Amino acid sequence: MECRAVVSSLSDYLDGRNIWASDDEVERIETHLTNCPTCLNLKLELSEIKNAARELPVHTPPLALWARISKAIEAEVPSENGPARETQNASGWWGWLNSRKFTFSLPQLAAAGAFVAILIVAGISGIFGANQAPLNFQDVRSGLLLPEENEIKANLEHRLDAINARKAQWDSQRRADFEQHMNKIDESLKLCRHMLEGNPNDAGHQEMVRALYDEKRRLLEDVERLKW
Amino acid sequence: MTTDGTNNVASNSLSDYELAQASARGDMQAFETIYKRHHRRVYSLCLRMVANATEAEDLTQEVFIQLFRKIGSFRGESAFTTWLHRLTVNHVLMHFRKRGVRLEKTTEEGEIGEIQDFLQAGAERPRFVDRIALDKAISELPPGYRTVFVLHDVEGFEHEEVANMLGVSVGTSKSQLHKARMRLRQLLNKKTDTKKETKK
Repeated sequence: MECRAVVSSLSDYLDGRNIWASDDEVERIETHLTNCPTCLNLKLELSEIKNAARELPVHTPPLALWARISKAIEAEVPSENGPARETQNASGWWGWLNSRKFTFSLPQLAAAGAFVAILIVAGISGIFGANQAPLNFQDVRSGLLLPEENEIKANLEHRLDAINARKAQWDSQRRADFEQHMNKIDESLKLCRHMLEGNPNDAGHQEMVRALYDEKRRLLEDVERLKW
Repeated sequence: MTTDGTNNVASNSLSDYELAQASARGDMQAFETIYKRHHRRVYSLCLRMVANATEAEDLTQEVFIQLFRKIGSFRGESAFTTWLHRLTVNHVLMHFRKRGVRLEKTTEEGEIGEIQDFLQAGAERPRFVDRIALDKAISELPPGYRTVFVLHDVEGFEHEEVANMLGVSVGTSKSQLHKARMRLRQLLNKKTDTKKETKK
C-alpha cells in the first residue's frame, strides 16, 4: 500500500470507522504503518491533535456580559409590546453595527440599498427630524451629530468621570474589557460622523448615533449597578 | 437583577433540570445559576467557531436570551449540556448562514496541499501538542475546516450529525475533518519551527 493511500485514510482509521474497509484493508494500513516510520509519525501526530482537541482551555467572557443578558431578558419579561421592544431595537441596532464592518453579504447589501432608496423616496428624514432643529454641515464638523447631543454628552461625561476615578482599582482584565467596549462604541460614532459629514440630516445615521449613545449609557449604568 | 446570597446557595444545589424548570417559571436567580454553570463552555464554543472575541460575546448573549425563551421546552430527556450545546451550535450556524459563510469546496478525490506537503516533506517525530497553541491554530483554520473540526473533534458530534447540521454529505464532513487535522498539524509545526528560529 502506498503512503498516499494510507495518508488519505488515516483520519477514518484513527476514528475507528473502518466499516467501509475490509479487514484486509485495515491490515494493509497496519502493515504499512509498521514498515513506514514517516506514516507512523503522521498517525501519532494526528492522534495527538485529536486527543488534545478534547482538552482545550476554556475561555471566559467579560464579566459585564451577564448584566447585559439579564437586562435584555428583564426588558422582555414584563410585556411583549412595552419597553421590551425598545430595548430589543436598540440592541438590534448595536448588533447590526457590531457586525456591519465585516459581515455584510450581497443580499444584505442589496436590502440595505433598497432601504436607503425607500428612505429617500419617502422623505422619511423629514419625519424623523420633524420635532428637532435640523443640523447643518458646520454642526457636524464642529462635533455635533445630533441636535440634543450636548445634553447627552454632558450626562455621559459626568458618569464617566466618576467611573474613571474608580478604574485604577479594577483588575487589568476588567479595565481592558470596559475600554474595549467604549472604544468600539467610539469607533462606530466616528464612522457615523463621517457619514453625517456627507449628509448632516441623514435620519438613519442619526438614529444609529442615538442607539450608540444609548449603548454607552447602558454600559455605564451596568458598571454603576455592579458597583465596580 | 442582583443576586441574593441565600437564594444562590439554594440554586447551586439544584440540578440543571430543576433550574431549567424554575427558569421557565421566570426565576431569574435560577437562570443566573444556569448561566454561571455554562457560560464559559458556551462562550468557548462560540469563540472557537467564529474565531472573533467580539462576535463570540454577542453570540453568547443571543444564545442565553434564546435559551431563556426556550428553556420551558427542555424536558430532561437528554443532558442539559448536550441540549444547550446543540442550541448554541444551531445559533452559530444560523449566524454563518446570515453572513454567507460557506464550507470550503472539496472534491472527494482531490489532492490537498497538506497531504501533498506531507508526501514531499514527511513527518517529524511526533511531539506533545501544546493545547494553547492548538487553540490558536484552530482560529487560523478556514471557516469550513474549523467548523467541522470544532463540531467533531472538540464537541464530539458524529459525522452524521455534523453532516446533518451543515447540510453536507457524510463524505464531505469526513474529508473536511481530515484536511482540518492535516492543516492544524502544518500550522503547529510552523509555530514550533518559528519558535526554534527565534531562539537561535
